[in-house]
Amino acid sequence: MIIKVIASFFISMCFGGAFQLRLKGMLLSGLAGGISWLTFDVAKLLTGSEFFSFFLASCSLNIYAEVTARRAKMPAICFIVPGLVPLVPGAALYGTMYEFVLGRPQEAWNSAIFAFSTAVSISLGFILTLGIARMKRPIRIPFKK
Amino acid sequence: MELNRIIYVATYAGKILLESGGETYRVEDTIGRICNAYGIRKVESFVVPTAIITSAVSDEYKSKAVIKRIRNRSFNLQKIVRVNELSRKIQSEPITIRELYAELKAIDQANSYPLWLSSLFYSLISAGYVLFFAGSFLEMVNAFISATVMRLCMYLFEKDNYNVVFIHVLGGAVAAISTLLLVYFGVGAQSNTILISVLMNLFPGLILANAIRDIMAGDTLSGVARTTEALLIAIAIAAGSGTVVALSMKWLGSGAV
Repeated sequence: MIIKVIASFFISMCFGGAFQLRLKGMLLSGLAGGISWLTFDVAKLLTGSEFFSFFLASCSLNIYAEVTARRAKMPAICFIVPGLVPLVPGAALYGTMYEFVLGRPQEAWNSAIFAFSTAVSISLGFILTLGIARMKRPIRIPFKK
Repeated sequence: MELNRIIYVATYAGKILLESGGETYRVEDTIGRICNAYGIRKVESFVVPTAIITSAVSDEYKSKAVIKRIRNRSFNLQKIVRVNELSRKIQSEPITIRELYAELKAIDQANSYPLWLSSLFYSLISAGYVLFFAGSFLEMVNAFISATVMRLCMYLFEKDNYNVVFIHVLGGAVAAISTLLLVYFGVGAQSNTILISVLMNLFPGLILANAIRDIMAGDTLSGVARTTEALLIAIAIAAGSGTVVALSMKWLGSGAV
């Protein structure tokens, strides 16, 4: 578990680097990845439900991103994108392709449905946190003459 | 004259943001903010992932419009950070429109990381994923090499602005070929784990995250367009790697994968 958290920190940090962020942004985005996977692991340990854990992880990632965005004065998207990466259901997506290649469409659809449900859980987390954080667009300051 | 210049510069700022992977509402707000800072009160912009349309009306009811098409995109979050900082700075400490244009140009042409460094990052992502999936050291080496080969191949085509879907089919195929060959020669055992790790760094996470945020901000049109793009990319990766995996099963026997 500790190894996985460290690995997701490392992955997210490198993703930040691959998207051309400088060192400070890389470290902060690595932290985003670490936090999202840590939340997922703890939630899964406590509740046992995979989808609920994805939902919580996505919530905590978004909260972290919005708070850090305001403190570091960087757009929230810089932390959300790298932080999301450890949560992506890569194995299920790959499984869909692999089972199709093996000629077992039934198993392929099972994987696809799992990947889709994960994606829905993650986006529900986005929707909840974004709905609270910035349901309305940032107010434009009216120009005075 | 001044109106023309202002909305041109504002749209240029929007173009940098949209090309580097900014959300739709951010682009629209930045354009509005720059125009407001230089005294244009009536400005509307319409942004979709492939185009920006800005229209402004002067005090004498003369209207001007600028259309910018976005043809190729390169995701660069650092540019978003800098344009965002700049557009907030001009509200507190005004600079002339020419200075703003010069600064935007400097941001647009600023050096990104050199090729070796960014492909090193991608390779490290893949190696990190093998660690994440509890793979062995040899598998990490395999993933590192395959990701490097894949990135360099994709870079050759990205440079010449080939179609995004085509590039991803190619990337998936190259990744699968390189991984399976290395496994065939004894570098690592679990080809599935390695292939997942390598393909993971093609995953369109930025596009998907933007799609959700766009839909949440009310820009349904851009949101749906981006979702479709992400889906197409995912299918392209699966098609590329799936073809190679299927062929390798045929030629090397089903034990090979």
